[in-house]
Amino acid sequence: MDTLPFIDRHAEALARLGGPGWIADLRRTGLERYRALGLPTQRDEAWKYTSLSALKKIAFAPAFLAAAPSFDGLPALGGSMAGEACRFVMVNGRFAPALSSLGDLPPGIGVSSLAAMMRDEPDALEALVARLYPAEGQPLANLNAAYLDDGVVIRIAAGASLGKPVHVVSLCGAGLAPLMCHPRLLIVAEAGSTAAVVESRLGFGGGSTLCNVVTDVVVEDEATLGHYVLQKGSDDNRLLSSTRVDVRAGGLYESFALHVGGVLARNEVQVLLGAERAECRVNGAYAVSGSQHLDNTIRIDHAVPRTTSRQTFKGVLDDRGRGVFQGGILVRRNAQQTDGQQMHKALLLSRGAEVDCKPELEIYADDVKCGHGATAGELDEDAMFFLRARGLDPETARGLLIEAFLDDVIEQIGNLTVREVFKGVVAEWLTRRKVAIKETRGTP
Amino acid sequence: MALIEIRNLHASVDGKEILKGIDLVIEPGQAHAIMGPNGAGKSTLSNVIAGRPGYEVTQGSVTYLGKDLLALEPEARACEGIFLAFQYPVEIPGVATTTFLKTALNAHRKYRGEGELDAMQFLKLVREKTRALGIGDDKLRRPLNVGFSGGEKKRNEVLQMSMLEPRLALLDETDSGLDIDALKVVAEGVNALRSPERSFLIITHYQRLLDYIVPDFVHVLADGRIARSGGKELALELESRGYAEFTGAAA
Ligand SMILES: Nc1ncnc2c1ncn2[C@@H]1O[C@H](COP(=O)(O)OP(=O)(O)OP(=O)(O)O)[C@@H](O)[C@H]1O
Ligand SMILES: [Mg+2]
Repeated sequence: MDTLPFIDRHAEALARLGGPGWIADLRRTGLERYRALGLPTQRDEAWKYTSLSALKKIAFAPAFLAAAPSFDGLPALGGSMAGEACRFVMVNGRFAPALSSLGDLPPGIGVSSLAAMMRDEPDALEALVARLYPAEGQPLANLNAAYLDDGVVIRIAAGASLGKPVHVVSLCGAGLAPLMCHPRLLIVAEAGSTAAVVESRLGFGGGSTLCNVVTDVVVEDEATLGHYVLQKGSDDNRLLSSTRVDVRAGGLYESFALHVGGVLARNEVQVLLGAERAECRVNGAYAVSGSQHLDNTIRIDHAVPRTTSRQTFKGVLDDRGRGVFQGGILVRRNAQQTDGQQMHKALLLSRGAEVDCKPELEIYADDVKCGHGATAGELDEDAMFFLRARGLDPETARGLLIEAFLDDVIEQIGNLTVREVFKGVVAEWLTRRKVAIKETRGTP
Repeated sequence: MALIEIRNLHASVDGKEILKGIDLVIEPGQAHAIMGPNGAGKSTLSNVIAGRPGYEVTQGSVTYLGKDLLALEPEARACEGIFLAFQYPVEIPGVATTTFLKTALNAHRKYRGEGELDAMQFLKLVREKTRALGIGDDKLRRPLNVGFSGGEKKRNEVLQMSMLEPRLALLDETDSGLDIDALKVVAEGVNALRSPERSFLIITHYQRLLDYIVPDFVHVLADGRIARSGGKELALELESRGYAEFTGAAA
């Protein structure tokens, strides 16, 4: 079985990591399972279009063995987002109190570092972890467990309502030596609560990094959770993200992943709709250029009657950029009156760009409403000429049309603050693209 | 100096010759009407002047204010004062009409070396123009032309024209799809822009429009050539006799 060859060198260091005995057990089981499963290969159906083989050639060292990075720009990168309730910053998977601001959290919201909880509240943590979706068959989630060290735990108490989003900033960067980190996020939205969490996954520095993040989410009865992820890695950042969500009766999980940077990224989301009226919206937008590769793999498990899911993704692909969308909808035998829809739309800006789209509908109930759709196309030439005939240069015209293409999916973001922030990120990506094009053409 | 001088213009689309030697000179301040049967090449002529990609000029020249127009990119032509009101205006979902207007106006201002208008100045200008054309504020907030009726799209074209204040306006069937009242409003919009420096090339199938916007010349375009030119009375004559003599000659 192919694993990451260098992990053997870390066994001793892993054994020395702190925490209560049951955490050590978790790590050990994680490592055993990961070894048994191996690194995913393209022979695995779930990894058909994304290769991790390049990872084996880079000797990533765990961040906890390296000195904390010094980078002048860090405070600015971990800077605040307009309208956030608090900011929890991690650098290479470890809580960075100096960059964070956890000041006046509204009542009913707890935001703590996982390492602090292992130390100070091990019993509370154990109780939370016991509620999670099991990860037996998932190599990357098990690899994450093997290296379990730090992360963030967000608890929203029953009935609490938080208007402003909790902002988690995860900064990844390395100097000369390649680094990896395996942060763990745990979000528990208790019954009847309403909250929003924004995760900004950002890159810094020039070195190679691998971030293998696992996010566990529980949305209890009648709770509503908005979970918004911004991925803006730098050129040598690789991001593997596994999000596992359990939505209980009448709960709503609404997520949006906006990806605008990083050489390789996999955004895997699994949602269990395991109680009646559970609902999820798993949406996203992305822009890839250069030789970036982004894989969105979603799997919704409609396990009981009367649950609803939506998946809408839109991508803009430039240069030799590659996009993958695997949208799975599983409707179990008794899950009558399931309503599950998915859509992927790609806009190809160059001939070298490529998109692979694989809907996977497995339907074992007969009274269901399920559908999927996919389109891939280029910019509309008539619209381009129309805009140019009104005086817009081709790049401005293209930018306007790209923004317009992404607009309707971004409009679906439920939290208005986040919607505006994400729109700004898209606008900024377009500006960077325009500048890059001008530079390569050598025009002023 | 003529505003635009078209000499022996030949143009092809997909290797098929559509314009077969057009000669046309428009002086500043003049309005020329072009009429002619379907498929004659009227829209092709306006697209070639505006610089639509895919329309290949195989012979002849177009000189605009003394410059070789054909050497300019479409956006430069627009910023130099050429405005094409499209026969079929494009719908652009996701781009609000105001955003589009502002971007277009600022592109023109930038080209001329002027600063961008701020939000207040822009709003004032757009209000003034929409009011004159009877366009509701709700249309401005909507995505460009999406869900607009045929007539509303044409009005929107005239709104863009009055915002951008071109030197040469090419109106390609801007009257089709307009109801009787809208036709008057649009014609008033055009007439308000008429001035000794500004010229119009008006493509139409209906002499009615020419009652409101009185042309200096009327041309018949048939089979890629100007088959006949005359004064505004030619339009009346065509209305009663049709194009039989021109299409017959072409066959
Ligand atoms: N993109 C194109 N590809 C192929 N043929 C084209 C294209 N554009 C125009 N043509 C052809 O060129 C000829 C002239 O078309 P054009 O649109 O200029 O006619 P028109 O005079 O404007 O007609 P109408 O009065 O119906 O608007 C037609 O035969 C048309 O089919
Ligand atoms: Mg036409």
